[in-house]
Amino acid sequence: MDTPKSTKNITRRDFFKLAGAGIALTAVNKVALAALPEIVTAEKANTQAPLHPDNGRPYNPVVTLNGWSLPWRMRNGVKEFHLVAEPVIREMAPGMKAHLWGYNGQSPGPTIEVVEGDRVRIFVTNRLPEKTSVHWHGQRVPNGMDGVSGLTQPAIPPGKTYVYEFEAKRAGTFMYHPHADEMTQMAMGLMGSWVTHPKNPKFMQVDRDFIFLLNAYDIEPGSYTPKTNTMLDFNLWTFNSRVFPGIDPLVVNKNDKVRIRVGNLTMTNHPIHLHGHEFQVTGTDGGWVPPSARWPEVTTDIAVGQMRAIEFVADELGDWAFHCHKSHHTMNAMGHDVPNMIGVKQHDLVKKVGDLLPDYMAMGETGMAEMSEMASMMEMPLPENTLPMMTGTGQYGAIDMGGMLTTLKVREGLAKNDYQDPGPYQHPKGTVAYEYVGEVPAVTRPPATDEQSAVEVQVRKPSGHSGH
Amino acid sequence: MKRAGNWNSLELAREQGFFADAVLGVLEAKNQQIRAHEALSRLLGVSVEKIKLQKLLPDLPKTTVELMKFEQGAFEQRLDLQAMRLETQNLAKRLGLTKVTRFINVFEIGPARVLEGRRGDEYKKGVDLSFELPLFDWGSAKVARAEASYMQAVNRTAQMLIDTQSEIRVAHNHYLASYEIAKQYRDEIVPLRKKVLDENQLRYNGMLVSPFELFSSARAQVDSVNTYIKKLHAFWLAEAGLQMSMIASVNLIEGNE
Repeated sequence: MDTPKSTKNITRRDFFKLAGAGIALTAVNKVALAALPEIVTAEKANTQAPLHPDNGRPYNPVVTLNGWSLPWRMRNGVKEFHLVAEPVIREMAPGMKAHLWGYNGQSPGPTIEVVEGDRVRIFVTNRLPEKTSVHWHGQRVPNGMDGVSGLTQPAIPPGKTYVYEFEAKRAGTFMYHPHADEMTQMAMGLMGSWVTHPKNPKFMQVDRDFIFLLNAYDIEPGSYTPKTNTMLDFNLWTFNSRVFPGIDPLVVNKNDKVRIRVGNLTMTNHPIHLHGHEFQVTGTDGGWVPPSARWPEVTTDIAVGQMRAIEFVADELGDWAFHCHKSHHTMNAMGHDVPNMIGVKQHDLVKKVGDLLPDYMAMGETGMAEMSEMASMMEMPLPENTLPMMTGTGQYGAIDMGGMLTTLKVREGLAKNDYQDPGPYQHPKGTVAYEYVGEVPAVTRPPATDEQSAVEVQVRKPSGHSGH
Repeated sequence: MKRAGNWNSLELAREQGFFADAVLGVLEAKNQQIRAHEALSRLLGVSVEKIKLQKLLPDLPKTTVELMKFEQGAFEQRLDLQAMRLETQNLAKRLGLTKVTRFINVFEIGPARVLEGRRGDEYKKGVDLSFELPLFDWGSAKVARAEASYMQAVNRTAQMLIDTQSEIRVAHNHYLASYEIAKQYRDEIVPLRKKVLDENQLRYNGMLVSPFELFSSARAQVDSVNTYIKKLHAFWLAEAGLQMSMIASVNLIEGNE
């Protein structure tokens, strides 16, 4: 995460200083400058420091996971933002870049943060090759500002700028996304988060407030652009268009009150699971959940088009996994037609096909983790721009995951604005699972009754030291 | 796979089908090899054990022979044409024709004119080749019969020349086409199959495709190499055919006439 000293209090005027933080100001001509807010774009995919307001009503800013918040200009009491819909190159994780559509240099676009009761004006410039529009998902707006092209407004043609203006009436977590050629444009990555903070900054105040969107892409291994006509069989399941190990950790101080806001713009539900803590869902698409209606959970299912805000006190030190509990959503691109090779002896095969396929390696005989070990050991080449199906290394070895997975890192003594990755957790002595070194009694099993169960028994027998 | 419980009988049967086909291929190739060796032995009159064959066919030549050069060479060399020329000369002698007035290019006898431009344009001579025979002073009516006999021979020669030219062109075209086909296999199809195999190897490394898909692209690659060898074989046969057309009519050589 980039946290240069100068970003403690980000203001619009300070953005020239922020080139190092991956944010750049695009030069525009004087006429445009007078009428339109500057175009601010992000060039990096890492988490930017929270944007503290220097004008308007005070609020406690959010931290956008692998993203940033869009600065505004205050003009006659109206907060003016400038969104630019355009083709972008998004790094999904080191080693893989996607050709997407996004806003202001990245997909998803920047988070827009306003305060309940703010008058908001958003200029939307269309630099896409086709028409677009922006729908302010979940907000109470005049019908003509709802952004459904054809229904409530003419679509924004390529090269044109349209203006949306409304009052942010309700505090809560929202999203914005196109409502013109919607399926294609969202499958290409056009979307962003929106937070309307409560008028009273003390209301539901937390110490750390994170936000991100769930999204999904189908990018063939070896290519760069998503197949937008894929309906469910996506191969990259992402938090803010990033996959593990490219997703930044959620770094919190011990005993911080933490809120995580998640919006789902994929085409399936995601049971989001946090290790080591119980949380409560305190906010939904419709607003805050009354305290009497909340219940403790460790997994909450987020349906398509929904938003959830979960809250907990981070009182357990450690590196806690935080992920979608659909296990194939914590994998990167994989082959669905690959047969299960568990228990299939292949060693003579390697010799037989050696002349034809000198690079052939037998894989999968003991499971799939073998593949990631081999890949790291032998540096087996993959197609270009392709992440391993299972990857990542922790202090104790291979993590063997991908997709919608990151960690909640709870540490002691972090500064209020410190979101830097503190590195692996230093476990106190005697608190890590360890190997038993004593005598293990032999496993007794009933004798096999037929051929089939004989195979089963053979397969399940621990065979680490025998028979290879 | 089946024994470990990971495959059903259908999948097993399908893969076994590929193996069975491969065995069949080997049997057929061996049969073909023995037949070819024995045929060669009979033609050369040498026993199979004494024939030493090169392991591989020679690769395609870098360039092909041009038709024009080839045709002219053929007219000078072809035995059937030489025979015809001698026959015509003998006929003239027998008929007592001695006074040569001029030579004609036998090719010009036929409608060997082409219109390349618009209808009003002049006709061009379509012939750059020549096969010349002498014409004689016919003098008196006494030799009218001799003239007719001689011109008959000249016209027969002209017919033979047209046949020859056509045969050579067919042989040459066959030779060129076989060359291009073999070249296309060597330069495009085999490398493309190899590329598919290489990419599938990368995908296999990432467990993105099954080993059976990888084997299937390996089979496709082997097939493309086999086809190339067949096409190369066809080219060398066509090349031999073209060389034969330098010597005599294909029909004559094969004993059809």
